[in-house]
Amino acid sequence: MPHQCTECGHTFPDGSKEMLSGCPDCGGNKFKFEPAADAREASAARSADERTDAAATDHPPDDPAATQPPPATDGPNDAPPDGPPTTDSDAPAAVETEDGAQANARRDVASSDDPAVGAAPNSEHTPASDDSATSDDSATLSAGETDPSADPTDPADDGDASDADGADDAEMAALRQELDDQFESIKILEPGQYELNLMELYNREEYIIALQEDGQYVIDVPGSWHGE
Amino acid sequence: MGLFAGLRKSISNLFSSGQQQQRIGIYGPPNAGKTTLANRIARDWTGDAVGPESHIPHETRRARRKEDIEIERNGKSVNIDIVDTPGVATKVDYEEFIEHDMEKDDAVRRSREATEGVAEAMHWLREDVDGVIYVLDSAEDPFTQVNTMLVGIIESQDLPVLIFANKIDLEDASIQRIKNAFPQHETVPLSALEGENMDEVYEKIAEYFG
Repeated sequence: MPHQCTECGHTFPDGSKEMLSGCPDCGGNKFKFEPAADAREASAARSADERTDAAATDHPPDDPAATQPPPATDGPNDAPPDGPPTTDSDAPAAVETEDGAQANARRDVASSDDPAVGAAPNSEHTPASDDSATSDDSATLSAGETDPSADPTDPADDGDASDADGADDAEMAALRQELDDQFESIKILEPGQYELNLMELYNREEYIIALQEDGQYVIDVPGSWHGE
Repeated sequence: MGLFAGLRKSISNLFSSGQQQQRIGIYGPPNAGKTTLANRIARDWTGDAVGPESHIPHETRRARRKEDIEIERNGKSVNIDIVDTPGVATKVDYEEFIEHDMEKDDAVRRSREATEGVAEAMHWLREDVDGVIYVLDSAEDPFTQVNTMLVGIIESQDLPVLIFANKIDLEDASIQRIKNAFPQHETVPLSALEGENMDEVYEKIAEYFG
């Protein structure tokens, strides 16, 4: 649950662009963000506890369980048909969808700006013996986390990822442009050339009273304006 | 309408006795003749002017208000403040002013001030007018984004609005074209510059905003 509508509680399991046009249920535009790292760490910790408990009891002979995690490392989208049932049986489905949302969010938004965010948790998990152990949860998580960092070393992934990333980047750039156009009330093309969004100017509480040479502008906040 | 503006209006209504002062915003695209109209109204009823007129667009870059104009027509009387607002546009370009023999620095400054003026006009529309006179140049195409959007905003506020088809003294003027563009509103033809049809203008103002 990376995002949740604060009005009606609608969640956005894919963490995608759906909410950019408002909540489909109630039209709300405020969303609560549940940091992916928290959910990941919580679930990782939970699964690690489960694994250690399970390993201590009867899992060593449980070979099928040990061979199932690798398919799940391909991620929720690429997982073979037998992947999801095994993860479903061992972990809540929400964990898997969160991974998809996290991977999507990293690829679309934070890949260039904030690689450290993805790298930090990754470094915490990779040394863990869970990778080679039977934990399908931790395997899935590490796959989601290692995806971005593994790109340079994996030529097969590289090709696919660059195509997909290119398309995604273009899509995101277009989306950002659309949002800029939609929400920017005065666009300064160059000094002396302006584009105005009348609806945005009309809808604004604050009142733009002076444009500066450097592209900044001075606003009068409603409280002082009304206090005249 | 802003919450505070609505509250202020309610309080002033509560304590006001007798005739209520209506604040009428004169809106429209640049060079439609808004200031000429404002000056005409102010001169006819108070003897004063509101602001300078010019054939160069965006001459009015700050909203100007003329208060306490009493208009009487056919036994009806209305007390109004008129607010002459800067012309509203979606683009302001200094090169437009250079075409009017203006130096670049002056043109850029005028462009910036005009943009601030549009922001101010939109803010007035949101917060501080009780009715709107929407002025259009009869010789220009009324089917523009600005006109459609502004009239839409005014309608969404449920403000009384009169469409003034100005500059009927021009050869290319077409009142019918404006009527066709906004059939849902009353269109009043006039020439603010020449003073044509001002009787009907005042009748309609008294009728709509009285």
